[in-house]
Amino acid sequence: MAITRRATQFAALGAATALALAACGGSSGGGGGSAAPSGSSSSASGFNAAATSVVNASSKTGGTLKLGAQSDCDSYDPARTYYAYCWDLQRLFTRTLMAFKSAPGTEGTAVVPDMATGPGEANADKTQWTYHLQPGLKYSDGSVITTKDIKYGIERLFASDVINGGPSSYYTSLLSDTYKGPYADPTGDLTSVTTPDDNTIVFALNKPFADFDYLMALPTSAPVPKAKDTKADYGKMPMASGPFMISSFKAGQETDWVRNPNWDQATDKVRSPKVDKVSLVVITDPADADKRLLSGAVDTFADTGVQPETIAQIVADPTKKANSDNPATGFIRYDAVFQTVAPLDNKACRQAIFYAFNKAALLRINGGAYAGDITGSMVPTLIPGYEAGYDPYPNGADHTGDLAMAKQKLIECGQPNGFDLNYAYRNVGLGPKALASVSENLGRVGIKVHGVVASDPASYYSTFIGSPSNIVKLKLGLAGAGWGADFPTPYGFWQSIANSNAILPEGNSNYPSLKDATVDSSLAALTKENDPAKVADLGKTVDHAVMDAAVYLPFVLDKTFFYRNPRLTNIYLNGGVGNYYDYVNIGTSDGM
Amino acid sequence: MTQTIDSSASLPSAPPTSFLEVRDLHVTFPTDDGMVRSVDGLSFKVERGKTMGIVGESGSGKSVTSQAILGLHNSTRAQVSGQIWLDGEELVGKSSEEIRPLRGNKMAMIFQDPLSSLHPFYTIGDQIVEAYRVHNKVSKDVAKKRAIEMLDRVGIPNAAKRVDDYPHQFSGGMRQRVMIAMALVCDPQLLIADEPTTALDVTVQAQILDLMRDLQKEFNSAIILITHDLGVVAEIADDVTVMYGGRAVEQGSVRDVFYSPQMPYTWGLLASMPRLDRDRKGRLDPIPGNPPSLINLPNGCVFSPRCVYRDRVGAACVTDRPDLTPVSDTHRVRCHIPAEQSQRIWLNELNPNL
Amino acid sequence: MVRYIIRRLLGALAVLFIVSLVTFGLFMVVPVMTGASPAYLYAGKNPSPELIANIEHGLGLDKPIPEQFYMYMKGIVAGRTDLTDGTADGSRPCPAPCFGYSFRYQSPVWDIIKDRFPVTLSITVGAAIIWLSLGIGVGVLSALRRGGFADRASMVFILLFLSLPSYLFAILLLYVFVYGLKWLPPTQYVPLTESPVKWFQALILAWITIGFGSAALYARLTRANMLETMSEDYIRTAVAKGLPRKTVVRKHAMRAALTPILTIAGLDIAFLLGGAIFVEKVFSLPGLGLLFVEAIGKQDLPVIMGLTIVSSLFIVVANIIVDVLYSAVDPRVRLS
Repeated sequence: MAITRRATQFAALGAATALALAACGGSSGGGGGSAAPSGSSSSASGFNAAATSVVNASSKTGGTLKLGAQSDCDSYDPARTYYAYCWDLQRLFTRTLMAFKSAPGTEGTAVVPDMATGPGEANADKTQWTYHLQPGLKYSDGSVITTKDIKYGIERLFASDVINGGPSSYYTSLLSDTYKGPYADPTGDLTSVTTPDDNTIVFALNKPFADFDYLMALPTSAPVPKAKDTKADYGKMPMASGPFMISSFKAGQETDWVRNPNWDQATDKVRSPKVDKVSLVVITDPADADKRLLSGAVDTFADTGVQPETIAQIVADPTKKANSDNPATGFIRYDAVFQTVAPLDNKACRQAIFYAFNKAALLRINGGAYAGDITGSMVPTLIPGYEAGYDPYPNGADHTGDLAMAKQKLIECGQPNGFDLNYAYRNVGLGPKALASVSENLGRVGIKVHGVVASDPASYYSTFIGSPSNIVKLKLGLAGAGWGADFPTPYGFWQSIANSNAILPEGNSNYPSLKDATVDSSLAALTKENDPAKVADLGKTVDHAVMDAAVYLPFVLDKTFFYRNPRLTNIYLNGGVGNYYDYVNIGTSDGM
Repeated sequence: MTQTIDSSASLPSAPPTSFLEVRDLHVTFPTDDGMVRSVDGLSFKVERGKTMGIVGESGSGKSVTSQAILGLHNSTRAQVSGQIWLDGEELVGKSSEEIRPLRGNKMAMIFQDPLSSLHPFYTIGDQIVEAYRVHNKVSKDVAKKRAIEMLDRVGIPNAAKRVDDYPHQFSGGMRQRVMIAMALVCDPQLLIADEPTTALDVTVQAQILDLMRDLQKEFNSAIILITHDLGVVAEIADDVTVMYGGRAVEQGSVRDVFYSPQMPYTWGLLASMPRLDRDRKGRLDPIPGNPPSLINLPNGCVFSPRCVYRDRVGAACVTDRPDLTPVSDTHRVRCHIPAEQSQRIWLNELNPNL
Repeated sequence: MVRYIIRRLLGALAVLFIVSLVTFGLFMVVPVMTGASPAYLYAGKNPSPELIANIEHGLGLDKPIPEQFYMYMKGIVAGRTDLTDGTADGSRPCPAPCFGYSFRYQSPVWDIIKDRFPVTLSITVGAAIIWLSLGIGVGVLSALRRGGFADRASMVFILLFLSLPSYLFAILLLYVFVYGLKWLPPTQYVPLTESPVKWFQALILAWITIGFGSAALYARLTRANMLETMSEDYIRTAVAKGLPRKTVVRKHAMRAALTPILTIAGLDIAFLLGGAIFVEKVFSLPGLGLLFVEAIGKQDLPVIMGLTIVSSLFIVVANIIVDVLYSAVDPRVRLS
C-alpha cells in the first residue's frame, strides 16, 4: 500500500529540447540605439498591443518585478544556458558586446552595440571581426571589464566537458578545432582571438560568418573574469555586468536580483531599467501557476504561456483579454519528409503527402487558434525572407487537404492507389495524437500510415531521426519535428536544417538529408552578406528552394499566450529574444 | 404446573438461599434476521463447594449463560432478563461498570483456548499481576509475589522464573494452569470454566481436572463447568444441566443424569460418549440432524425434529412444548414421554448397548 | 539480536547493490547502447563528433561500462577523485558517499540530494503526523462505537477521501485556502530554520493532501483491526478479569491492533521520504520528488541513479527498523 505513488512524468521530456531550440527569432532591422525602448511613441494597450508597441509607457521607477516560471533556468551561467526565456533573463545582469535592440516585435530582432562602441568591423570576406569596448565598464564588484574577459568567456566554451549545455558549437567551429579550453590547457591560448589592448578584441574566423554580430549578442559570449571563474559552479553566482545582479539563488526554487550599483546607465543604450528588484519564483503546477498569475501574485510568466483552460477564461473577459498577448514564438512545427526512402525518392509522391495533409487538424491538436497559425512555408515571421501567404502547396481554403491534387500527384508518381508510409513519433506529448491524425488524413488518398515509435523519447532528435542511417534502416517516411533559430537571421534559421554540409551521422538536424545546390550556394552567400535587403532576398531564395524540394512539410507556426499584470509599465514583446517580454525594461505603475 | 420454575408469573423475588441461583434467564440477541433466543428460560442453583456441569452442543446456550453471569453482555445489544443471584446480590439489570468489581474477584472465568485467551504481548506475570491489582490495592512487588505463589500452586515448575515468560513459551496444559492461576488470584467464590480442557491432550485434561478439584476443596468455591464432554462432567460435577436449544432439557445430580437419564437428547449424548471402562458393543451413535435455529425454534418439543422416539408419543411432540417436570426431588426432565416409559426405554433398550 | 541486525544489514547491502546494478543498466548502459547518448542534450546544434566525445568524457561516459560501474560503487563507499571539472589535474574530489556529478548542475549528486531532502522530510513528517493521528483516532473511535454516529461519520470521511482523487483535493485546497479565503500565501518553501511560520504555511496544504488521503486508508485499516482485536479471546479475558474498559481498550486492544499498522506506516513513510512527486509538483515544493522529475526531463542520469538508490535505501532500512520494532512489540516474533 503506498501513500503517494511514484508517477514518473515523462511529459517533461522533450520540453527541454523544444525550449532549447526555440531560442530566438526575428529579422534584422536598423541599427542605432537609445536608452528608452523605441517603437510606438505613445503608450498603447489592449489585446496583443505588446507585440507591436510599448504598453503603459511610464518613467516611474521602483518596485519589484515578480516573475514566475514552471521550471527553473537550465543554468545561470551565461555560457551554459539555452532556454529562450533564460537568454531574456540574462539581459538583466549580463552585458555582451552586441545586444538585441529594446523594441517591440520585429524591431527588436536588430542587434545594436551594447558594451561595444559600435557594430563589429569586419573584413571583406567576413572572416575577421574587431570590436572596441566602451571604457569604464565595471562588474558588480567594481572591477573593470576588459576584452580579456570576453576572450576568456569564449575560451571557456572550448572546455566542453565542463562548460556545456549552451550553443557553443557556433564558436568552437568558427574559432579553432584543436584548443582544449582553459581548464585542460591552462598554459595554452585561443590564438584566433586576440586582445591588442584591454578595449579591443579581434576574432579571426576560419570561415566567413556575416552574422557574427548576432553571436556577440548571445549571452554565450558574455565576459567572464578568469579570476572569478568557478568552472562548473559559475552558474550559481555569475558575475553581473548589467543593471541587476543576483542577490539570492536557490536552484529550482527562486532567483532574486537587485540593482547593480556599478552599472552606469550612461554606458548602456540598450537597457533602461525601472524596478529595484526582480524575482523569479518556480511554480511547478500549471493550474496553480495560472491562478497566481491572474490573482496578481505573479506579474507574468517567464517561461510558458497560460493553460488552454485559462486562455478561454481570459478571452471571455474583455478586461483580462486587454492584458494579454498572443505572439508567435518563432518555432515552426513541421513533418520531415524523408526522400532517402522509397517511394518518397520520387518528388511527386512527396508532394502527394503535402496536398493530402490536413493542417487544420494538426493545429487543433496543437491547441487551436491561440496556439499557432497555419503556415505554408518554413520561415517564421521574425526571420528575414518571411513572405506572408507564401504557400507552394495550397491544400484547400480551410487547410484540410486538396485530395484531388493529391490523387493526381499519386498517379504522377506511379502509385495511384497510394503506398505504405512509416511515421516516426515519440510516445510523449502530442506524438500519438499527431500519428492518429496523419494516419486518418493521408488514409483518405490511400496512403497507409504506420507508426514507428522512438524507444527513447529523449534521443528522438539526436539519434532516431537525427541519424540518416537509422532513417534508411527503419524505412521512415515522415517524422514530426520542430525548429527555432538561435538568432533571427536566415542563416541562423536554415544552416543546420538545410545545408548539405551540416549533415551529420548522428545529432543531425538536416533530417531529410537535403542536398540542394541553390540552398547550399545561397547559404554560402549569406555567410558573407550583411546588407539587409540582400539577406532577405537570399532567405527567400532558400525558402523557395527548400519548399520546391518538398522535404519539409510545415504546418503550424507556434504562438504562446501571455498574461501581464496591468500594473506593469514599459512592457512589450521583444522579437530579438523570441517574443518574450523584455524583462529588463519593465516597470511597475505602483512602484511596489 | 405451579411447581415449574420457568413460569415467570410465579418467579419469586426473594433472595435465594443458594450461593448462586439463576432464575428464568433469557438472553436474546436482536439481529437483522430476527431475535436469536440464545438462552430461553434457564434456571439452576449452585452451592459453594459444589460443581454444576452444563452440557450441550455448540449453540445450546451454555457459553452465553456463563457470560451472562459475568455480565459480559451488559454493554452489548443483547437483552438479558430473569434473575441471577450471586451471594444474595441480583446481577441482572446492573450496568457493566457495576458488575466489574465482581469480575475476576468474586467470580472468575477460565476459557477454552488458553493460548488465544492470554494476551500474546504481555508476560503471564504481568497479566496475573494486572488481574490482582485491579481488585487489590497492593504494590507491583506484592502482586508479583502473589502471582508466583499462584503459579506455584497450580503446578508451574520454577514459577519464580517462568513468571516473566510469554504465553507462547508455555505448553497447552501449562497455559491452562496459568489461566487457572489468573482466575484464582483473587480467591473467587464462583469459578466458571468454559470448556477448560477441550483444547488439551487427554492426559493433560485429567491433570487439569484434578487441579480444579483440589483447588475447589481448598478454596471452597462454587464451580460452573461448561462442556460438551459428558466424561468431564462425570469426573468432576455434582449436578448436571443438559441444555438444548437455549433451554434446560434435563437437570439433576450426576447420579440421576448418568444412571437414569429420561430425555432422549441426554440418551443421545451418552450414546455418543466413548467409554473406556466397558467393552465396546457397537459403534458410537451420533445424534442425527443438526441443532435447531435459535431464531425459528420448532413447534412443540424443540428436540422433536431429531428425536427418534417421537412416534412413541404422537402429535404432542410437535404441537405442545413440554415443561421441565420433576421426576424426583433432584431430577427434572423436559419430555413428553411419560417417566415410567422412558425409564423402561433407558433400562431395556439403551443402557445395555452402551 | 545484534547478529540478526548485522545479517539484515548485509542483506540490505546486497539488495542495494542489485538495485544499483539494475538502475545503472537501465539508465546508464541502455541509452549508450542504443546510441542515445545524453551528451546530445548538452551539445547545442550541429555538434561535431569531437564535441560529443568531449562532453561524454566530461560526463564520465567514455570509460568502459564495467569500469564506470565499479567507479560508481567505489564512489559511494570511498568517494572518488577521477571526476573531471577541467582543472589542471583533471579532477576534483567527490567525497563519500559519492553518487557522481550531476550532468546538469555539475555538482555532486549527494550535495543536491542533501539540499533537497529537508523539503521532502518536512512534507513526510507533517503528513505522517496527520495521517497517523487522524487515521488511527478515527479508526479506533469508529470501531469502539461500531454502528453508532461516530462510526457512520467516519465512514463518510473514509469514503470521501478514498474516492476523492488527491490531485483534485490538492487543487481544491489551493483554490479555497490560497485564492478563495486567502488564509495562506501562495506556497513557497522556506526552511524551518529560516521562518517556522512560513515553513508551516508552505507545507500545511501538502500535509493535508497526503495526510487526509492516507488517514482515510489508515482509518479503515485501524477500524478493521480494532474490530478484529476486540473480538479476540484475550480481550474477553481482560474484561472477565474486571479491568476497566479504558485499560482494556488502550492496553490490550490498541497495542495489538496497531502493531501491524505501524509496520505499514514505517514502509509508507520510507516510501514518501524518497520523494512525494505529486504534492511536490502541485505545491511547488522543491523536494526529492521534483528533483526526480527534473532529472528525468534533463536526462540527468547520475541524479536519477542517486535518487533511486537513496529511496531504495530508505525502504530497505525502514524494513529492518520495522522488523526490529515488531519483535520488540510482539514477543512471539523472534529475530533469527
